Amino acid sequence: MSAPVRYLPIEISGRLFGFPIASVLAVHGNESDSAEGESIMCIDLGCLFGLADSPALRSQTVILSTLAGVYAVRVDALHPIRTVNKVDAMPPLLAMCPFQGVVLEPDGLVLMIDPRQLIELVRRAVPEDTHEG
Amino acid sequence: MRAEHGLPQLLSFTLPGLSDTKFAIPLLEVAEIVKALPVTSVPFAPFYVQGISEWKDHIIPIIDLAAALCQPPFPLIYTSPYYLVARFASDTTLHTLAYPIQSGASALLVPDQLPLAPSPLNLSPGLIHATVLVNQEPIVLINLAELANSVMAARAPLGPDSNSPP
Repeated sequence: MSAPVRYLPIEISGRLFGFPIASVLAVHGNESDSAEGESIMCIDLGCLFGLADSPALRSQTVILSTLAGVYAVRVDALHPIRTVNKVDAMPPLLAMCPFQGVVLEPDGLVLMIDPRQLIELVRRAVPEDTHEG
Repeated sequence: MRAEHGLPQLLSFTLPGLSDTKFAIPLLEVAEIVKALPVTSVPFAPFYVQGISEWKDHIIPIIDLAAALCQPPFPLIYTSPYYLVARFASDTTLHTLAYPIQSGASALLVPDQLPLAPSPLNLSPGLIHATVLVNQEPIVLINLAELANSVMAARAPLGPDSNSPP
């Protein structure tokens, strides 16, 4: 039995994903794109994951802290923190995706986002001067 | 892959989207044929991965084998009421995955030596062991380990080629 894992469920276009709570620096109920007064990169997860509807719906912001830097992500809704006893590893065939595991919840499979892989993906995909925020 | 009488055993099946071609894998690689696996899509997955699903307390990838076998662009993602759950080893890893198949899969006892036939040109040769003739009918032997090996070898994570075909 592995140690319990706490994560922050976030909702995008009606679907749940999770951030490991250790990476969550703050949450804001607005379109904040700054942390401690510093402007930071802000990622629209719905667009990035191809689940996009209107970005205007994503009014919640999660500030994430990783070894690769601090950045913000916009999501549709935040859910109460959950604790689970088990996070399954991603299948090896999907190791290139920005997820560190999968949680089996009564409401379905929740992909646990790897905040560091996520920011590295964005930095590789998008030239620095076109980042939002 | 041999039955008690010494003959290799295969599972022969057809794939949605490639129903004109018969495929086979060793029966030993077949874990189960199941109905209606719910699939959760995974952003940034390779084009031939439909998503993930839970199977017997395991999280397994669901792939569209027809899409993996065909040279892209492959326009449609096919589903089926039946999924074949396969277990196999690549270089260092034991993999479990599932893919949709059409109804009518059957086990075959075949001799050690089978005449070869040309493989269909529309299929990726890297994912095929060989095409053999069984009762004058060509059957494509799928090399699932090569699919896994190509992904594992290319998994400089999140690189620009992460969606490339195997």
